[in-house]
Order: sequence, then C-alpha cells, then structure tokens
Amino acid sequence: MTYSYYKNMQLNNIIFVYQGEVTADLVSSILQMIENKLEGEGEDRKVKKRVFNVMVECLQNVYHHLDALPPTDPSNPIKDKTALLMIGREEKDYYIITGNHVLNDRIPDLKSRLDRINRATKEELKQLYQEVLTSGGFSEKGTAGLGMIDIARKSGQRLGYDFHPVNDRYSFFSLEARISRIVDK
Amino acid sequence: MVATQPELLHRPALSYAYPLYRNMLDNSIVFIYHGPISPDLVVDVLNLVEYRLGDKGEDRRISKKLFNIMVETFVLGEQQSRGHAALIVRQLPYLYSVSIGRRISSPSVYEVKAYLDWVNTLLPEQLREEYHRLLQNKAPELPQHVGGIPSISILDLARKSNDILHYNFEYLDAEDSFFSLEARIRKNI
Amino acid sequence: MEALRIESTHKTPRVILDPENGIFEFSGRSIPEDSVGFYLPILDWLEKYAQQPLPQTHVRFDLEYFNTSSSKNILEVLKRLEAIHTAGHEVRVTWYYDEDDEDMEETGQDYQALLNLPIELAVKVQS
Repeated sequence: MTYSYYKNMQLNNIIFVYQGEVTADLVSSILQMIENKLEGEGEDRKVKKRVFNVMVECLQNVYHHLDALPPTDPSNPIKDKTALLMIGREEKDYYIITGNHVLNDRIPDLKSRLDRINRATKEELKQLYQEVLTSGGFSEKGTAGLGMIDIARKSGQRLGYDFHPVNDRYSFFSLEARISRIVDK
Repeated sequence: MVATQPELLHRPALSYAYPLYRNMLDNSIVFIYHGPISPDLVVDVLNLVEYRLGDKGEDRRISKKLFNIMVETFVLGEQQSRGHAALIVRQLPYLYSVSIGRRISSPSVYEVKAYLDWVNTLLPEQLREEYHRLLQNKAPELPQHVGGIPSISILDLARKSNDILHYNFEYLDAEDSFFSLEARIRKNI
Repeated sequence: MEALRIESTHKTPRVILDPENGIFEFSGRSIPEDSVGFYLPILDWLEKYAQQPLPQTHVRFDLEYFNTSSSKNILEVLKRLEAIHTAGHEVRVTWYYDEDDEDMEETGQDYQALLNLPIELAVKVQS
C-alpha cells in the first residue's frame, strides 16, 4: 500500500497531505512543519514567505467553508467536518490544495466568484477586494469570498478549482493556489 | 461537473485531490509525508501528531507508544542514500499504524525479508535478549545492518509495537526495490 | 576540572556534568543527526572525571524520547559510570519515566539488566 502512495506522491510532486479535522493547533503545527522544511532546504526567503502566507489564507478559507456546513445532516457523506490539505512542489511552482465538502446549491455562487476572480487583473482584484470588504463583507459568504480574493492576490496566479459530485446534496470542492518559485528581481 | 477552464486543464494534482482524499478516508490515513527525512522533521511531525491526538483525547499510554514508534521509524527513513522516503500515519478506532517506505538495494531484499520473518517469530523475552545483544555489540554472528538498515531499529520497533511487523517489497529494477515497514499499536491491550 | 554544560535543543538533551557537587543530568530529547558526535565530548569528559571522581556521584536521566542510535551512546555513558562504581566510588543513577511511558520504563529496565550499576527507576512527577 505504501508504495502506491509513494508513487502517486512522486508523480504529483506532493510533499505532504493531511486528511481530517482542522483545528487551530493542527493548522499551526502543519504551517510550522512546512516552514521549517522549506527553511531547511534553503528555499528563497521571499518564496518561503509567499508560500506561508498563501497557506495561512487557504486554511482560513477551509475553516469558513466547514463552518458553513449544517452540523448534523444525515446526507452528509462524512460525519466529522473533515478537510484535505495538500502541498506540492514542482520545478517552477509550489501548489497548495485544500478540499472540503460543500452543499451543491452553493456551487453556482462559488463558481461565479472564482471565475470572476480568475478573470480579474491585479488592479481589478484589489478593487474587488475593497468592494467585498466594504459591502457587507462580514457576512459568512462575504468573508469566504474575501478569503478567495486574498488567496488569488497573494498567489499571483489563477486559482484552480474542481467540484466533484458526492451525492445529491454534497460535492467535494478542491481549490488550488500556486506560488511561483521564480523570484522577481 | 468538473470545472473546465481552458487555462486550468493542466493541473493534474487538482484532479487527484478528491480520489486521494477518498482513498485516505477509506484507509483511515491521517497524513502522508513524502521527501527526505531529517531529525528536524521528526520534531515537527510529532508536534502535529500530538495536536491531533490531543484533539481526540487519546489515552496517554497509547500516544506515548505511538511517539516512541514514530521516533524509531524515522531512523529507518533517515538511513537511506538515494531517493525519498514516505511516511504514513493511520488512525483507526482500534489501532494506530506508522509506515515508513524507502528504497533498498534489490539484492538485499531476500536478506531483509528473512530477518523480518525471523524477528516476527520471536517472543517478547527473546526480542529483549536479541536487543540486548545488539546494543552491547556482543553478537558477532548478528549483523548490525541488514540491507543497509540497522537491525537494532527493526528489533526496537518489534518490541515497541504490540503486533507483528508488517512489510512489503516492491521490485523497481535490478538496483532498487521499495521497502515498506509498518508498525502497529493495538489499543485496549 | 571544568563542568560540562550543554543546553537542550529540540533534538538534543540538556546535559549538565558538574564535578563540584557530583550531580549530573541528562534531560529532554535525544534524536541528534550525529549521535556519536553529540555524545563523544560527554564520554571524553566522563573518562577524565573517572580518574578523580567525587566519593558520591548522582546521575539523573529524565528523557522524553530517544532513538536507538542514542540508546547505544547512553549505554556507553552508563558504562563509564559503571567503571567509576566498580572502582569503589558511589554512583547513583535515577532513571525517570513518565508513568504512561511503558517503553521508557522498559529501557530503564534494559540498562538495569545490562550493567552492574545501581539504577533506580522513578516515576516522573507531572509538572
């Protein structure tokens, strides 16, 4: 069994993957581990900081999504509010993927937000961020939207996403943020 | 229902996310680390496991055992010259499992397998005796290493785990094979 | 003779070898990259101390966890102490373990069995 994971981890350049409940302490220990690892391997300071900042934001974002799930729902495929966290390193990029269940009826809204974020230029993202922040940005949906804008801004690249249908009420939502390893002069 | 944005088609890891999640969930895998293993990492991974156990309110006797076993599995992962190691931690209602996977030389597979099979036949007192002999270097007939792996580490894991050691070999090529060793801690015994 | 003091890191234990009062201490974790390199100066120091030891030496081991490459080196440390004891000087070793840590208790028993040295096992008081 270990070998097939090893092979897949190698194939997808994955450094670390976690599946389970997400708590504040756990998040900080994962962040610490990745930070020390990049530090120990002599990764550029700027790149390291960017990876860290994007990771913090991605994990925040997962929190918000998990909070938005109904607490006790028999159609929920997973009893606990579990999530996926994955960190990979390719030749040119680091990538951070978070995954969690979302209610199907939230997908159109999430998609349109993500597409809007991905179409926006750097300047437009800044405006969008301020817009969401000022216009009732403290509602549950608002903060989640804000989180994704923030991830996009910090990542500097388009966000990747995927909705995998699980049952008639839930889908698994994966969000990918990339951080370039090429340091701009 | 898979989102298809033209510029996002070449993101293989993204489409792997759900199958991986599902697979980890079905196999009760908490995390997988893939890469070089160093003592610095040991500390961070133990911290992570500590928080996870803390959240779950695990029995301290069990969590201590898990820690001691993890510390030793890292020794096996560190002792490798080429390629990366993989570390997998599983948490089931009745057991914890720590697996370490690494490359070993293909010609040494037979020797390592024979050693593990022998260790698995030993009773706790015999394990202790063998461990003592190795610790004191008092056993010239006993190899300090099998296939580049310190034999004392294997004995140590066998002693600390309250189950037999589970293992697997995957032939890669004439030079390398992939060796995985799993130590389990059964609860309530 | 100068005391040997090594502060703990997240990978190596705190070591205090004080020849003034004969109180030695090893506490923390022991998973160094190079355990031989870490323990070598300690073994050297003990060799020197063995030439003119105090009439009484008390050694306290209070380890959180360690790996097998350290356990060999700890055995070497204990052998040096055993030599002092065999030469007729009093050496008392206290091996502390967390009451939930069966493996650490067992390791203490291992050393008891392997050495001709009084090693007392003691349950650590929870802080």
